[in-house]
Amino acid sequence: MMKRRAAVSPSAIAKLLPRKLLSITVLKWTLPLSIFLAVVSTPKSIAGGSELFTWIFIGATAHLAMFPFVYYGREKGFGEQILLVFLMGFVRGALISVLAPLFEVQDLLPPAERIANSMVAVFYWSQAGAIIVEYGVEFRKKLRELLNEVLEKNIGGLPEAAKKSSNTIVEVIGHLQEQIVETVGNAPTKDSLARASHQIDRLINEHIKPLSQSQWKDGELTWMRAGFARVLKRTLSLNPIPVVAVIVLTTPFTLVAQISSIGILQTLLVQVVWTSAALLLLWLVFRSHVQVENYYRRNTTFLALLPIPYALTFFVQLHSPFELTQSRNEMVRGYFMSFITQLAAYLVGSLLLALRSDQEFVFEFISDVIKEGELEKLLARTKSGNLDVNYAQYLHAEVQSQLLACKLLLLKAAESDFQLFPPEVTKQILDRMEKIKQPYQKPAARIPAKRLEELRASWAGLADIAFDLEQELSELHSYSDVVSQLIEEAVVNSIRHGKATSISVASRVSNSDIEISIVDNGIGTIGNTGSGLGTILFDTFSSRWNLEKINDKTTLTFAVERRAE
Amino acid sequence: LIFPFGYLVSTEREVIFNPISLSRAALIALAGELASFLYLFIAQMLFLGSRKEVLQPIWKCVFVWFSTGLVRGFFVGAYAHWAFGYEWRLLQRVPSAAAYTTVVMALAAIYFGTIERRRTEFEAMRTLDSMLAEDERELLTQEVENRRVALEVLNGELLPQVESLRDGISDALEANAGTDGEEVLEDLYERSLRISQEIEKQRNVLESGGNIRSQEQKAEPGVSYWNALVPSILSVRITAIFFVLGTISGQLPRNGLEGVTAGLLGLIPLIIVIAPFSIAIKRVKKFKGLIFLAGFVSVYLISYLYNSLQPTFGFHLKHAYEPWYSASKTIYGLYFASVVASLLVDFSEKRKFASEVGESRINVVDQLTSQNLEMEKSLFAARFGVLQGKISGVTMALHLLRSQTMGAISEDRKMTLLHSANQLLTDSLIEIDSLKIGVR
Repeated sequence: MMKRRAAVSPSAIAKLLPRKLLSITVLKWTLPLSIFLAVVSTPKSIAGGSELFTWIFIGATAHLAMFPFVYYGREKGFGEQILLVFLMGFVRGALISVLAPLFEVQDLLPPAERIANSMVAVFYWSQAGAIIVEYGVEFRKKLRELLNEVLEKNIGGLPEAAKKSSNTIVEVIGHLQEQIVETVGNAPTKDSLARASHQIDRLINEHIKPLSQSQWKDGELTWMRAGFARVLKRTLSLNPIPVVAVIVLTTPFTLVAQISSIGILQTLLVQVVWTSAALLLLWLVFRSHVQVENYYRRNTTFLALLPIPYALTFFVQLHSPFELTQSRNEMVRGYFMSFITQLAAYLVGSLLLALRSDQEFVFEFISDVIKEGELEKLLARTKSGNLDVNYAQYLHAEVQSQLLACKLLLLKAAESDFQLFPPEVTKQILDRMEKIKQPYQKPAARIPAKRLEELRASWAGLADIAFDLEQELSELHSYSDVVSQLIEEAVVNSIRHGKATSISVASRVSNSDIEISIVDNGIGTIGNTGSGLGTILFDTFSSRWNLEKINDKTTLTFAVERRAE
Repeated sequence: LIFPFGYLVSTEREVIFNPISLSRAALIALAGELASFLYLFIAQMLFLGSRKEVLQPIWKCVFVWFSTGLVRGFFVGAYAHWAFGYEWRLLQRVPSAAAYTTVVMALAAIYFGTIERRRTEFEAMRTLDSMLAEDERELLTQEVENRRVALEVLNGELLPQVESLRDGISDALEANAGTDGEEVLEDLYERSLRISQEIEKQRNVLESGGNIRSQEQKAEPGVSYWNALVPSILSVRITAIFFVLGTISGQLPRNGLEGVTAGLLGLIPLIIVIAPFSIAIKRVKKFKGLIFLAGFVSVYLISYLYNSLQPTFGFHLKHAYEPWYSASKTIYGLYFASVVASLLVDFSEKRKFASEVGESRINVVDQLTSQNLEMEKSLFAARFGVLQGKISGVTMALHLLRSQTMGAISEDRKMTLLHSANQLLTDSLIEIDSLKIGVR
């Protein structure tokens, strides 16, 4: 029942749309198309090579004028991107209109129509380009991440499980992972993991891409080893054609194109008749419950009967009271082009649905294999001294440390009613948390001595952490959270960015403050991580801090005031 | 939101400068807009590239705003001349474009800067609240565990010890009936009873569960600028500011000071109409949409009426606006002002609410933290500290009193021993009293 809805429900649009619309890659790829349209469909006429070059220049300039929007909006949400895509189309159309008189050439359409036309065109090609990018680049990126995860967690059994799968794409991934494991061994070291990461890229390029026979980059995984006919058959066998979604998506473009050639009233008549006839046909073909094995038959029946709505619409338009603006031949040609376009749109729509289903299936499959329990096992192995698989443990500890640092900073900011920092710093902290994308977990040990014990265990194998703290730092005080966090920030920075392998922490307690010294054998990088979070943390919570390098030792000293408890 | 008004004014200006069609005037104005967009994009990257991280000096901002206006005005003139051979008229085009752009961008920076600040603070409070909620959950789990351990200590260690002590005192009382020590022993017995009662009380508190209520309230979900496309309030003040700005920029190059005066006088009936609607929208809970609609329709009508009657007030403007057009621009200004005001109010209220929720959550977390800490300390004291030692001391003293080897000691020595035991028990009572296992 759910599948039948894909044919009749507009909600299938969500599956046909890409996750994001703006990307510099799409802008680059669509430059030739944009220039081609500017040359072929924009001028009233082109007289000679000079005018041709002028139109090429206008097309290129108008297209490149959209760059600021892509640059600004590529990380924005989908809603904002839709708005930006229309604005891009606006600017492109406006620039064509503005530049044409400047270079003494004539645009076919008045500015308002040119802008509307360009807005719709840019929206469609951005969408198509984004889909290709998503199925190509994004899919490869996701696949690489998943395979990396599989390797880092040293998960066996995937190739066997994958090979049993009836899904071709999973099968290929299974084989791929098997090859990687063969290459790097069953217990990969840190170095071999890094090598494997490059090999994944190489293997995708060398083993998967050549298997495909179409132009769809990595998305074609679904029909590798298959010819066009087989792909087409498979596509039409997997899902009902998303007819309503395609009609909804193509209507704006059809309206703009038809209104400029046959006027508003005839466009409305043609659209109403054709859409009603197409929907009636859809209802007749898919009216009863459709079994999976019947999709192919129903889909081909629908496509075979599709000329009927066109014939009906043609007949109605021909006998309508409106004056015809085109000759009969032109009309027939127009209807034929529309039929071919619609047919192609249905096939592409079905293909996208099939691809998306396949990709979702693959990611679900691999995610199921990487069960949550695996992480726990990994952590247990790390604690037992298996130093080759510490990666996740380190990352986990660092991410949680950063989240805790952000929490302390936000608490401090809230305490001062956000007067402590300018809004830019608060935003920076929020952005950092957004980038981390990990849930905040239970607080780490609040007492400095205990926190150092945890740090020593977490980073065992990568750095030796020694400490000699005053008794007071083994108890809980009002300053404990802050001191613990500053120590952690310094230690993690020393290891991650300063490449230190030996760290010692000492303290001095006076009546007014607690002074902590962290000495390491690294290169010294506090506040030099680019993020600025470390600097903000030390500037906010310590009464003074200082980083100095003497001989081959880096010493970070900071003091935290003791408040009355 | 800013673009349409500036573009309209620029187009109107072009129609006055040259006897051209609206379409061509719009195209000329569009050239200026496009050039200024591109310039603004480049200028903000060059001069204000770090504006998202660091507060920028005001002179840099003013420079970018003003120069954007210059570019806007210059390219309108340049395009009119290059594309269609009209006069440059830079003296008329550039100053008005520069002034309008600078003021509008400054206003946008002030209003949207404030809105963005409120939004950031609200997001910060919301994020903090979710982290504190996690802390709270963890602390509550820890509290439950502490209670369980505390009950175990009370039931398994302290209570049996005190019961054994009471039995010992009862035995000693029987053995020392009629002696000098009887009075001290009775006192001892009383104290041991009080210790039992105190421990029972602690146990009852522990069994009755926690006394800190978990924070039920949650900060509201995040909001976006899209929410304000349908405004929730009408602002008299912001509408007045936009109206004045629109009037000056529209009328000054068109009809000079007389036009500005005529336009500004129109503010009086406008405010008289907006004010009651603005108040009504703030006060009523139902039919807000209808009041909004009525407000917009009334503003349109009053603006239309005022423009139609301008000649009767003595204003005979050379390039007077069509009433319907002028009223439409007023509606646009009112809508824009309402959007800005709604964003300001919405984010301020949400931030305030999130702050209240956050403050309350911080208190709960602080209370839970200190309570858990007290419980842990008390548990340590109860299990390994002086309390058990003292009770054991008294028990041992009583044991000594009853033992054969101590039979030979003098009555004075016995009394000293009993007084010492009494003191130990008094200390134990104080210890139990200060125990915060079942924190009240």
